[in-house]
Amino acid sequence: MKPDQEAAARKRALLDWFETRVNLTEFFALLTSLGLFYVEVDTKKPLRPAIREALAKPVASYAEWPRVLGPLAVLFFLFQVVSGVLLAFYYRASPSEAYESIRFILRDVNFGWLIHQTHRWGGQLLVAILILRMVRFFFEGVYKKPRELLWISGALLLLVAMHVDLTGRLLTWNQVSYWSTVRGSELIFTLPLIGPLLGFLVGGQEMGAATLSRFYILHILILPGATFVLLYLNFATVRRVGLTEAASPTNVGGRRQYRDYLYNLAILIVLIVGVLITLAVMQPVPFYPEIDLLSTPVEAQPAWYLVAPHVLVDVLLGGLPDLLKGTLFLVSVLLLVLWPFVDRSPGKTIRERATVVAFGTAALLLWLLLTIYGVALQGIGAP
Amino acid sequence: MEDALTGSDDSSSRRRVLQWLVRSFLSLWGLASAGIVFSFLKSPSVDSAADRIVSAGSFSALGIGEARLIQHGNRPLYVLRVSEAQVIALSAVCTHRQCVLDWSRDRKSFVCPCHAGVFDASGQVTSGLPRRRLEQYRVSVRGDELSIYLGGA
Repeated sequence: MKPDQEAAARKRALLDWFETRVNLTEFFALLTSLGLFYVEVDTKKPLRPAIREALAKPVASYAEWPRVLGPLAVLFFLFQVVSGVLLAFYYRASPSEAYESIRFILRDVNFGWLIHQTHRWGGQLLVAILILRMVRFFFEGVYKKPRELLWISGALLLLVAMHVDLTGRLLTWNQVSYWSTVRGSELIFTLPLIGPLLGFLVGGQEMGAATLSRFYILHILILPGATFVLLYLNFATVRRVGLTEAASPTNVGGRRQYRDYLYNLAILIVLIVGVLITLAVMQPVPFYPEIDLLSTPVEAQPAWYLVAPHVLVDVLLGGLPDLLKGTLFLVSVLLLVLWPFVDRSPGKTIRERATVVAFGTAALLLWLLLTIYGVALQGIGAP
Repeated sequence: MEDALTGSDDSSSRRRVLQWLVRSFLSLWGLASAGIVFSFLKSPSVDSAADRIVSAGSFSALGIGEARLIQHGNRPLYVLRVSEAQVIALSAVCTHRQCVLDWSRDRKSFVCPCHAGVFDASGQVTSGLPRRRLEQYRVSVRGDELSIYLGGA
């Protein structure tokens, strides 16, 4: 036997050792269920034939270019997990140490600035991608029966990603992040039901040590765990019902195999990291001063995706009572999540859905205009 | 399948070169990423300039033959007044198993409470299990104020 054949035999023997004791194919199937590629895996087969069979299958039409926002969101999520775990090696979540540990990461740790900045930017891009994905779902009608669950889990995924970002902002524990969170939570605490519940979750309506450690555990464990579950649910529904009638699981697109698709994923990963490093170098998030409890800085601003609600509530509807504004906010969030049950018309083409499309376009335009108005004219918003 | 269609040597060797290029690019990229992660995880030594100068208290309060134990972060240090004019600074950690040494004025030596290793007043090993001498640091006297420079002896 040639030496390389011997090595291959040894590798197969090791694989066999595991294969007889645990079903490795199930792990591989789990990866595919997270949306990185959608191919169905025969978990009764051993790992190598199962992978070979899966990679030789033609790519399902719902996974063909340009339907890339889903896998892109998964890749960003995985990047956030890796960079977040790395940061947790140095970060200390206590009011007296948090700021100093961030300074240590940025100044002393090798590539600390890179990991910190790419983690900051990755969160923003993840939220942006999930927003784009929901916009696309809306206009393509990817919420009509039987895809209600696909929309709902996608919307929840977006909301959870926003909360991961909001809790993460506080962890830097500097003047700007502290006051942004204080001001951002003022509105939420006035809400009926949600307000007291959230107050309970974050350890009282006063910001302090309890808030920091609770935000920390929400940021690193509970919300990412929820993201993981929602990603699984989201892509499980895609695997069952497809994205549209034309892009259904049974409708096979071109002659491309999943083997090629894997190369596309690798290219996507390289591109993502390139974009993140570029942003980290060109547009680093500034290092703000330590918390001063006696003065609110002007830089304390809502996150960019909250600029529109902020402008609407604080600038345009400033005179209304908080309870009313909070309820308005809550109703619009519920409208987003439960949209499949609001618009139950069976129509699929743009012409059949003219009213709904007009409503969606108006809402999107309003959101964009309010954001532009807030950022350009009022100087509101922080990356 | 494509080999069957375009089976000429020319295109299959081009294919091999391209495949090789893609693979080596991806492996180099992976190596670089792994390098970044590794060097991030490697804890940096945290000697900023201010931390390298340690204040060691008053010079005149330190009698001849006396030693003073100083806590700097988690690094204990001794300043020892050898004679009227000479002060030396030594690490207070035994080089055998990292126990903090005691200064014995009678024996003019540092004694390890753990395994009875002994160092003389200049930090050399005189007996016991330790093999390396104690690290020595530069000391300066400015006015009455002693300062230890951790940057090296």
